[in-house]
Amino acid sequence: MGLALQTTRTEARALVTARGSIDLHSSESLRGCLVELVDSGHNEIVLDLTAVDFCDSSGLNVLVRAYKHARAEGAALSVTGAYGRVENVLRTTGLDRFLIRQS
Amino acid sequence: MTTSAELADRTWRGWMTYVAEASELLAGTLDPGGIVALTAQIVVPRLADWCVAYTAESTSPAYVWHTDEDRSDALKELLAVEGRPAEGPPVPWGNTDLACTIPLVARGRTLGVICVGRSVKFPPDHYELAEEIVRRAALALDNALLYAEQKATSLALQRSLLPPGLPDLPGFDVAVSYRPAGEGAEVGGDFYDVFTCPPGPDGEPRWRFAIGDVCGTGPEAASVTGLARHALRILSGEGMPLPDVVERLNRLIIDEGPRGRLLTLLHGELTASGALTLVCAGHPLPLILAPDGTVTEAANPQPLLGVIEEIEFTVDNLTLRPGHVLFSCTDGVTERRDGDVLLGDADGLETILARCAGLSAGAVAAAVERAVDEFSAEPGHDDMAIVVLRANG
Repeated sequence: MGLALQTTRTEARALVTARGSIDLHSSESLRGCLVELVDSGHNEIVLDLTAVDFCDSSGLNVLVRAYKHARAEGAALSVTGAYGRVENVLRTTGLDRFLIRQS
Repeated sequence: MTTSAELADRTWRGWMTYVAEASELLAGTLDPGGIVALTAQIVVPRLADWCVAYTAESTSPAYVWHTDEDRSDALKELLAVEGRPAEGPPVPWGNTDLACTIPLVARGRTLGVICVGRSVKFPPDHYELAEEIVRRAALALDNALLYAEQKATSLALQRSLLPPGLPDLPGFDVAVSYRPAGEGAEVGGDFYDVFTCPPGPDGEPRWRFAIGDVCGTGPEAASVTGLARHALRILSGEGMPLPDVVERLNRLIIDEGPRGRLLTLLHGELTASGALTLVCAGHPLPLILAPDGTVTEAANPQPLLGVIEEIEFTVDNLTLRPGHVLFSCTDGVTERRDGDVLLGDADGLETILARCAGLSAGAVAAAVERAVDEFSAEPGHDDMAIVVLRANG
């Protein structure tokens, strides 16, 4: 398992492509990555979860904190590509309302 | 040809291995009694003929170990008569023995003493080695005592986070189950509650129940659990409607600031006639099991608590008909893992429940617990709570 993160930056926008599982062991690296992007002034951060197969409550905690941190800094954080378990957990926790951008 | 230097070197290596192995054995247990017994068995027979351990709390020996088991009782009597040998290098004691007492001191605390004795000569390096072993034993014992203390605190805290008992719900069968993760030295974040609330305007008896999961473990999570459980009872006592209670709790958690934690919560109200009102705030959805084995989701998902202040919660209204079961659990059940597969994958929980048609609430809870246990050979690492309500009939 584990989690690999790849960041593509274009001006004020940043796309983070995650691959693997977001859990107790890997959520810290995701937290660091998202916080760094907010703090370095990106005002639109998108986390692509297409290649993520699992996200536990510590992962949700990171997403929520990063979302709130971004909002406090006037930036927007959203997730895209969630499917299966990850889509399910975002739906049951109601986080889809905040984190998934309505197109 | 072996020189005396080589011989000494070999002996020295032998003792180093002995001390290293002793340390490893001592580090491998967190049971204070086990460490005392282990120390005696490490010292005897390599360094001494007998070893007696005393804890700081008692003047009678906690453990007696003699190479000649038949002489253990005589040794105990001798200790009672002669008193313990003096501290420091071994001196004649009793009739023939050379013996000494080595205090078990770790981090400035005296935890007890170890007395050792030999019937023949006691080489000085053996005494030094015994001291070394006892020093390591004292550290291991101190760790074990601290661990036991932490475990007791956690258990007490954990118990305080669960209700003292369940009310009687005439016409309904209620079962709850809670299982902490691991060894129980750390408080988990799962909780449940079932309590009577003031009757409605029509005087009909009502009860409320809750099952929740605070993100994280340890005292920080426990304080949010305590806040949640007490807030639910107090606000219910004031007659506050269910969605308002959940909204209020959400604000309370956010007001905790950085100390706040995410909370997923299923909060419900049940009346004597079976009217069921639910608010499912980010929690695994409760399921209804019908007598024919059909399983359906009982509520709509709403956001978990502790994230955003401005959320209005709505209720799901349904009726718990006779023979129907409401099943709710925490993600310790659905996220039980076997390799890459989770119990909740592909409606796994629904499939387990479907086989429970006709069972009592307790039997349903037990069947799911068993399914969780059998799902993987690996021990679970998450705590788990289950609340089952069944309308009789």
